[in-house]
Amino acid sequence: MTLEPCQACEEISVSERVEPFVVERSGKKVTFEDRRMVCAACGNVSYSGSQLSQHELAHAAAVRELEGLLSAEELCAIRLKYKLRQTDMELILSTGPKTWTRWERGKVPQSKVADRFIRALASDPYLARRQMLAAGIKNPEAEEVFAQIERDDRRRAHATLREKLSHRPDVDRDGIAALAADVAFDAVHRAEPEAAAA
Amino acid sequence: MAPHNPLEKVRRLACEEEGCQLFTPVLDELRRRDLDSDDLFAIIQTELGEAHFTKSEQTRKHHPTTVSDYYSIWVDDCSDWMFLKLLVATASDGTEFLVVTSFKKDIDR
Repeated sequence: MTLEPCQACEEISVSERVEPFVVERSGKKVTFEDRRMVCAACGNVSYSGSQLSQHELAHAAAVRELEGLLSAEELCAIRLKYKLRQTDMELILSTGPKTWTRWERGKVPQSKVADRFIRALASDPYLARRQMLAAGIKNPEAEEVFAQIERDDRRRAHATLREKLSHRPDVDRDGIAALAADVAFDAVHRAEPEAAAA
Repeated sequence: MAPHNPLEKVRRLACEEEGCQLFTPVLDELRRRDLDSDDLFAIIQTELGEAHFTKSEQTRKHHPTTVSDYYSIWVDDCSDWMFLKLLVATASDGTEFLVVTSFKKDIDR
């Protein structure tokens, strides 16, 4: 084992160690194996090279697990589902620049409040579209995704209504209106779980 | 007065994670501010200049071979003046690496 000089105490006593690192939130704990440089003389701990990213990613993943937050990969998938850019998400969420980029990079977890809003956006494309427009975002690719979702929902509602009417050839106008209202209501409320599963 | 560790070398080392070492309190401070090491390296590469340099001193606790440079820089992401202390050290295999020993709110500003 090669010992390196310590930049804190000058002793030639620094070596790489793999030790458990405990992350604690609200009384719950997650432990991960942490690779780091430790000085046997003064106890100074530092992270070198790839240890840095490994530590930051593992720490953020532990926080996400403890707080039930979406993973960095899930955040990326939600954004790409709507073909939104990272800067679009920052505008929609009113965060500072580069914030969403950090969350997707995986080394910094999002807040619980942001996580809840992101989940709402993921499950409701119409909310996501409204928020995009409210933030003044011009994104033709995303707009096309939202337009396609709307076309699909309209086609589905139309097909459902036709199918229901086919079983009731003698239905009057009031009956058609009632059926249409039922179909529209179902379509709106079915959109949430289906969008979430997509 | 110029920094002891040339900024050109410091910026070059900050481009590669492999050429860098951070002390634990630096990572802790980044985490408190919802930042990560990539943000710190980006600050060093693109924002840190001689205008932010304040002084050079032999690294504390008598280390004979390195000199630390002290900087004070406004960081937008922190909304604060931040104190930054760094040095360039040489590993046992002869390769140079950047060590950031301190990154915290500059209470003297």
